[in-house]
Amino acid sequence: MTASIPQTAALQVENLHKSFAGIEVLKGVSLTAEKHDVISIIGSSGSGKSTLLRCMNLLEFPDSGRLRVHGEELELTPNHRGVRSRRFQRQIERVRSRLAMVFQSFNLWSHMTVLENVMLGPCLVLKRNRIEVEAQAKKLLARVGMLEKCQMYPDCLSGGQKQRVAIARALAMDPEVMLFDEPTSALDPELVGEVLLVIRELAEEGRTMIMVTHEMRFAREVSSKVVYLHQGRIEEQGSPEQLFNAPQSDHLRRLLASQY
Amino acid sequence: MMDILTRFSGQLLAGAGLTLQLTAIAALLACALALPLAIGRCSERGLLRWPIRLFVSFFRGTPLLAQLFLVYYGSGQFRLELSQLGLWWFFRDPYYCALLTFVLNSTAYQIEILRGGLRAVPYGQIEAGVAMGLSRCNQYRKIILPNAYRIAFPALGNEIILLLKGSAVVSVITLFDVMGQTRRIFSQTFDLSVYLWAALLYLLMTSAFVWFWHRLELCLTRHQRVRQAPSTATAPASKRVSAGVSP
Repeated sequence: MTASIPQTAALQVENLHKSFAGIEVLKGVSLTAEKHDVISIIGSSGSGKSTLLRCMNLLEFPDSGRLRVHGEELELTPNHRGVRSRRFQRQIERVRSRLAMVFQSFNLWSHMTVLENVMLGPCLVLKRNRIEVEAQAKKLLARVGMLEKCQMYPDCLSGGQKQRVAIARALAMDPEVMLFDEPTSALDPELVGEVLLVIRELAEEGRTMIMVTHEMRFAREVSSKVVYLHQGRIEEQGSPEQLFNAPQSDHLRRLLASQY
Repeated sequence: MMDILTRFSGQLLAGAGLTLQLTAIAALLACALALPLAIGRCSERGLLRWPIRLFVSFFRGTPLLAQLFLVYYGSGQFRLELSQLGLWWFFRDPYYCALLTFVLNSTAYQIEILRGGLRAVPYGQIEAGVAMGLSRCNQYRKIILPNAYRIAFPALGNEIILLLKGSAVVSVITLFDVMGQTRRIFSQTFDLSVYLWAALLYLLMTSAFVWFWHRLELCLTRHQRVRQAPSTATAPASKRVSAGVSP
């Protein structure tokens, strides 16, 4: 742990390693998200972007490395993948509850209404009062423009609507950091805009966010920092202007050329 | 033909009562037992998984009648030991023996049905719960089981119907269910039509059950059908048709 890194970092990963079946996907990635940072992780497919994001809230368990969320630190070693102590499991759950995740495929609970989807986390994980939670959930749904559909089931919604509900569900946890895993990749082109609009608003109000995305133009507009991942390593990082206007790495140059 | 029915309807109905009672109690007890065992069956720990697999393969792989004989007549071989354990009152009674057999048999089937349901829960939905910090218990309570039971629902209904019909074997260990009553009536009258009435009675019971189960299923899966008015009212006609509310 270097002393120069301030303790206020919202989320910090250090030297993450992760292999799947002997293939090393992450080869020592370190990344710090300060409060109000909007970090975009870009890279070609297979570069480990999604794995990195999923390691941050331990949906994938890293083989080694450290994770620090708002002062709480987890030392990750491979033997934590099997049986875990109850205390460690609690700690993991606590860390996860501070990091809300928005998935590429929405992953709304299909047997619950929109409102129930948004209310479940605050009620059961944060153990907050149901009436308060409902009021807050409705406020959040209104924000993403989904209030009038709050009694409907996810199967009745379009992809863009589902993703907006998923964002409301994530917001309801009042998270330290929001993680977006390619939030628009599963959407029809005409539905991408409505979701990006919501994410942009969140960025502007100062939410700390880390997102994996293929929307280069969007990444350039909203990010405070862009990270380019290549073959499991961070090859380049910096401000969007730096990365998009003057990329240093050949790989990144090639990726950007293919996009525009 | 009708006179058989009028003369013996009381006995046949009493038999139907016993059939329904045995089926209902066995199905409910099996349902309660199958859930933890199905979860154990899906466990990664072999020590938990293997005994359950063995249990399932035995009770699925042997005839119900053979199981019933094993429990009822087999326990007679151990009368002394069972008496010492204070369990003889249970194994002496053909009703309890039948119930025990049915519970074990149906549990085995329901374990496999539920296992299928548990495995078919969309992984993304579980992951959404995990990512939120939901505890394992709440994941099961709110996400995994509601999904698994909905997926397993038709197959569970099927299993209960099989159990109801299979319960006819109790007539050979002196219980007077529908089949037992029918055999008795036949031995008194030698009128074959009583078997027809018995068959119709079974059909009536299963049909009523199918109707009930279907209603329950409609209620449980409303989230897959209800495309409510607010959204469809403004949707183009073509969409409204494809999203039509089912009868």
